[in-house]
Amino acid sequence: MAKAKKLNWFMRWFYQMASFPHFYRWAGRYAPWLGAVALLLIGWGTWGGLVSSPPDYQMGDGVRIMFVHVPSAWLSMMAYTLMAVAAGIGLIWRIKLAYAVAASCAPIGAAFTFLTLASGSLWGKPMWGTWWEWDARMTSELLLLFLFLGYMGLRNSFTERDQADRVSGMLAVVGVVNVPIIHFSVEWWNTLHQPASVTRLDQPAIDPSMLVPLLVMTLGFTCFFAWALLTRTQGEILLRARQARWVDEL
Amino acid sequence: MKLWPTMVRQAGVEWRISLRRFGEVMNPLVFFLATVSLFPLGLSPEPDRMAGYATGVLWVATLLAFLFAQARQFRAEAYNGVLEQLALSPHPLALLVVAKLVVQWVILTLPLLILAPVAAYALNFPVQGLSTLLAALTLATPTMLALGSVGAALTVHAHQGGALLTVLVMPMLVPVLVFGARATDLASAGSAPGGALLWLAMLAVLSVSLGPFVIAAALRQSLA
Amino acid sequence: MLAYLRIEPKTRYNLGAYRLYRDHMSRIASHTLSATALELWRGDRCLFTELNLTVSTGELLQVTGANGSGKTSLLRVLTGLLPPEAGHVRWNDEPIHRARAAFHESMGYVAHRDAHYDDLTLRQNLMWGIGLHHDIESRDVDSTLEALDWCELADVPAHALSAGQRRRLSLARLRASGKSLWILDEPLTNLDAGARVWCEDIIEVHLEQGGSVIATSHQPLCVRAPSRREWAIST
Repeated sequence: MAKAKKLNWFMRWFYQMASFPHFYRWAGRYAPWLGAVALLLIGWGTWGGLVSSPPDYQMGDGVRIMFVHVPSAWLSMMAYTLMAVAAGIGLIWRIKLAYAVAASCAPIGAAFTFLTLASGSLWGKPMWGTWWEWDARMTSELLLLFLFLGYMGLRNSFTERDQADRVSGMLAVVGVVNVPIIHFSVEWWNTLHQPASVTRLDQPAIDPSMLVPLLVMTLGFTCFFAWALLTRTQGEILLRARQARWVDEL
Repeated sequence: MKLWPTMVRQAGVEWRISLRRFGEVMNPLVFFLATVSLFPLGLSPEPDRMAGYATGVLWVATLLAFLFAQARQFRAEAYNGVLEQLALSPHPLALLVVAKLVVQWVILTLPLLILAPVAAYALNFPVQGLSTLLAALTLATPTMLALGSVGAALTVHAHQGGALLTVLVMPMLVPVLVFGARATDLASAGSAPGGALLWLAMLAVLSVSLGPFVIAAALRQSLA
Repeated sequence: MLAYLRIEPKTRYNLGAYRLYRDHMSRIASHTLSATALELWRGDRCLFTELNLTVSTGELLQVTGANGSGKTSLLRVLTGLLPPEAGHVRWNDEPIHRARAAFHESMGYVAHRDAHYDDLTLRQNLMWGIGLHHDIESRDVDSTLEALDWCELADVPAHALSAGQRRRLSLARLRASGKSLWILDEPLTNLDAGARVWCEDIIEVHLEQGGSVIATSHQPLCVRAPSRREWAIST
């Protein structure tokens, strides 16, 4: 600990955050605020998306699914990246908290991926006339769901948490390196088999009356994700540290 | 400490064991043929329709045969303690893994390259695409083997084997499937498969150069 | 060298071992393995914390403790297979994860699992196992087999061996690998009375040569060591 004085503020913050009790209290302090902000923003975005924005001239009211679909798609990818980064930090610096974050990320990310697929499929029925279209983005999302499920499946197949952390961490890191290649190959495959005229869910030119609620919704979803992540991580911390004295004192 | 003789010896050990367990080694190939023969039964034995789905079937059957072959890879070694000794050798584990995988690649791929034309013929796959199919398989198999080994290394001590490996590795194998099938399709239609084959070659280079280190790291994590 | 005269060939198990050792008799360079402030958890249980130990040339450290107290985990931490939660293991003052190759060149581990390929013969197994650690020629294998008095078993596959014989094969492999530090997990398990004496003898010779040994054992190890300590893991 004599070294601690030499660390710059960032590393000091980094190591402080890595301590279970510190992070637990920190998360407990900020999570409710994030939750409240998420609720407000999602409420505002919902009103903006469902009531105040006009229906699309081409897609009609179907466009409103976008307000759920786009933020979930963004979060599904962010969750995977965050999970892999956390797992990588855990592997390199052997920080248990990072593993707790990675482990809490997976189910939330999988849920958002599923939401993306479900909303995409709901949107596809009126637009493409089918619940499922082998569209490049949808296929990529499906593969992302498999990556999440694989990560969770691997975690579940170990009785020992430390081993599950390390091994699934490796998988997340290998996975995130592969994601761009997978994504590229799916795009490539899709251009071969699909006419380019298919309407895309996100139009290049989007009207401000839709853009504002979309951004608000995205921000709200992100806050919700942060809230859910902090709360789940708190749970993971309690599981991992249930024998520690500070947990008894809670 | 000489590395090269150790790698050669490790390869020799793998080779001998594979010959000793010849039946087990041939199982994935039987699996390949059995999978291929399910499709005409399930879809249609009409020559025209078979030619339509032959490419996909050949590639999917190859992927499944590899996953099947690798589901228990490293398990025996982990169970009898050999893996620990490999990890405690002063030599880099990655290079010992290379020795093992080279032998495995030869044992899995060479018979597959002989069987694939037979299966292709049975599926009424156009003869003009055959050489490309073989080239694409040769380029794709190192990647399949490397990714499968990463998955196998991670699941060495997992409670469930095969199905889990498939879920872990399947999404990562998609690029191989896409590029391989595309190259084969192009060639069977009589056009040049250039781009897709180059992509396969790139993936092969990546997985041959980086794969062993990732596999070794995964094995060390599993052993800990 | 006088150490051998002390041993009565008739009462001891196997003279071959000493023939081999007379040929190889050379001092092992001085070395130190030290662990500082080790901490290890298994699940919710803290196996040990603030654990310090040092083993150097000629020392035998016997680790004792109840079943499940973490003896094997401690050995695995010392080999570098299992990273500790906190603390460092150093080989000659160099952390082992930084000097992995040098450390593994001098450290041999005989684990609970024997690490033999069942399908290979004894000779092939020894060739592989010694060769992993050591440049090897087939006459090294011959002398090891001779030392075990197993020349007639050379071409028998390893799966035909009994548990005790497998254990002896692992120990013989370790001895032939030219390591300075031996880490032994229950070396006497499954060994009959004669083989136990043989095992104790090779440990003794190794210590006399300037090697060091860390061993877990439920049975007492009858070994005359220049320096010997016992260390109990408390739960």
